[in-house]
Amino acid sequence: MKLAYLLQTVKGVPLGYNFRLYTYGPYESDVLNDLGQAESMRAVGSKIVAYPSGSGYVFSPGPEREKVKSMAREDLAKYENTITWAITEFGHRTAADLELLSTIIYADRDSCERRQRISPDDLCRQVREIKPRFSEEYVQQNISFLKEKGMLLALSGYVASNHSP
Amino acid sequence: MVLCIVDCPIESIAVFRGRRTVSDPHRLYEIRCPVHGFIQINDWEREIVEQPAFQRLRRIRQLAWTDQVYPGAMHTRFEHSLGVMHVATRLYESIETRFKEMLRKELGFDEAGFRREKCLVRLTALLHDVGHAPFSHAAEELFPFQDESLSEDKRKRFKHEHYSASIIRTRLRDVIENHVLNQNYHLRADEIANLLEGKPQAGRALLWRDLISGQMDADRIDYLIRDSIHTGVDYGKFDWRRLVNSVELIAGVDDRGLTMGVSEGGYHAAEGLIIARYFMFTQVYFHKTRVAYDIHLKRALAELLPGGVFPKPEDTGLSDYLRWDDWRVLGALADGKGGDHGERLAQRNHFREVYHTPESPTADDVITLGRVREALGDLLQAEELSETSAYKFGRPDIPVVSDNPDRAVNPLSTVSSVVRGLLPVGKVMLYCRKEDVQEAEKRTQDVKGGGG
Repeated sequence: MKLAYLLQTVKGVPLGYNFRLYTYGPYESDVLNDLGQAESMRAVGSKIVAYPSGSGYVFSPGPEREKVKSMAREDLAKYENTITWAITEFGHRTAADLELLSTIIYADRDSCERRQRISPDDLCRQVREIKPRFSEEYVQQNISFLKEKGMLLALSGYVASNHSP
Repeated sequence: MVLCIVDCPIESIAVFRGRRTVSDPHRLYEIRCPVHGFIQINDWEREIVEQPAFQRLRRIRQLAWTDQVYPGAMHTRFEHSLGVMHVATRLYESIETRFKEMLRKELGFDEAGFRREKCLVRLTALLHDVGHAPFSHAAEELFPFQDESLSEDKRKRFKHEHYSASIIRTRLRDVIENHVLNQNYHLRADEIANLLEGKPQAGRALLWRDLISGQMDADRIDYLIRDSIHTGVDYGKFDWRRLVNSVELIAGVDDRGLTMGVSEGGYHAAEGLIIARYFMFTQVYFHKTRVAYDIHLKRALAELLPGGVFPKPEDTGLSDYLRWDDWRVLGALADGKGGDHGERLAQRNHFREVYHTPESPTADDVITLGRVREALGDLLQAEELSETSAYKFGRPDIPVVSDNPDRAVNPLSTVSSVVRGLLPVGKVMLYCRKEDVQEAEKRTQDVKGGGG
């Protein structure tokens, strides 16, 4: 979910999703719907795994993956490097970290959409109201990380209407 | 009472002048509802309901032209909005009662804060659909683009939530912020709009988004049951009261955000919700004839609207937009406007479905669809995908909290074999004109017989 958000928002991959913010970060149910379709078409498979706090799913390539990929061969080729970037840059992060990073980016893009600059302190304050469990120091660290990577626009002084969250 | 003359549309001024003198602002009112029995509102909410922007919802049908298939489906967004407020209140009360300590510790609420949040949830739920277009979701493809300068693949259209937020911030700001009861809460119109849109400025109130727009939200609970009653089908009914009593607020593990789920004791009610969604989608919302009427409505509306799209939700555009409702569209159709599709709506001469994929198509089914599409050629008038429906059935899952001491959290699909067995619906339907059905069927047969 959060990787799809980063691909669309940061790298401009036209996935067509309409993310909205929740306490668990940007969310769009169509991402899960599409994953379900991919599973239904056997492009991916899933299995239930146990965690200390409960259970969840792990996804893996399915038996029909090549057939399904061939239907979108051009788009996949066009965005292959971008997809690799997302996995390399963020694939190792925890779910909680991805929630935090994507929430920071969402708040940044919202400031852009409102044509308002925002300071790191204000951005931190806004994010901590949504994610109160994270310390100010940790949030600021992640804001600095994203800013150094060029992923925050409002902080960099870029305000425009065509970078909606 | 202050009259705001600047930038105030005429319909709002008329209401201000006619505002009643309230003898007791704490008086409660009850409205009869076929789903919930009685829905209670206070004087503040009644003032909001009386506004022209909200009364407009009486003239917007919940299910567009579904009455062409299910004649009883004549209910409107007006009563649905009241119903959503009622259900959202029940969900909120259930959470507040059972998770008060968690909310105090995690988000710093006190008693005054709880009362304020309840108001915020009620008003957001009441106004969540105030920006709907005529005939509801059928017209959503005719919203304008937010930014036409973007390339086609990156352009996004406005959604009805944008119109709702704009109406709340402008047309309803005065009645929301200046009612005497609001002196207890100091709620601002922007807070309601921010919560509705999922803006970062909503802050800790984002927690309540799951009540209004989540997997087991008040909107879904109300419309499934309401639509079921009015269409006359039983598929949409499930034990929503048990679901409300079983709702759980789940503390995020490892610093993840709070989410809404259900206790193990209530998971069968959650199963009922998901099964209701599945049946209502396949039998009502994506019924082939209902979808055909959506096609004609969209195309007829495109002819009626200046530039083929609704005005933007800003400045004078919003005033123009609020003049569009079902009555205006029906009046135009009765006058013979709307072109060929307007005529088809008036004469019940809708397109016919001539081919559809299975509900959950495989890769081979998609390939066959492509061959059928090619074979139909110029006979093909429309193609409708279930994924683009506002009611689409995808991969819903709800966290279930175990009743065992470990309080483990598991997705409903791991606990329920029924839900695990449900596949997302990815059905595609192809349509042609009634007079072309025979030829279309012949060409389709040729493809399936290997001749395509």
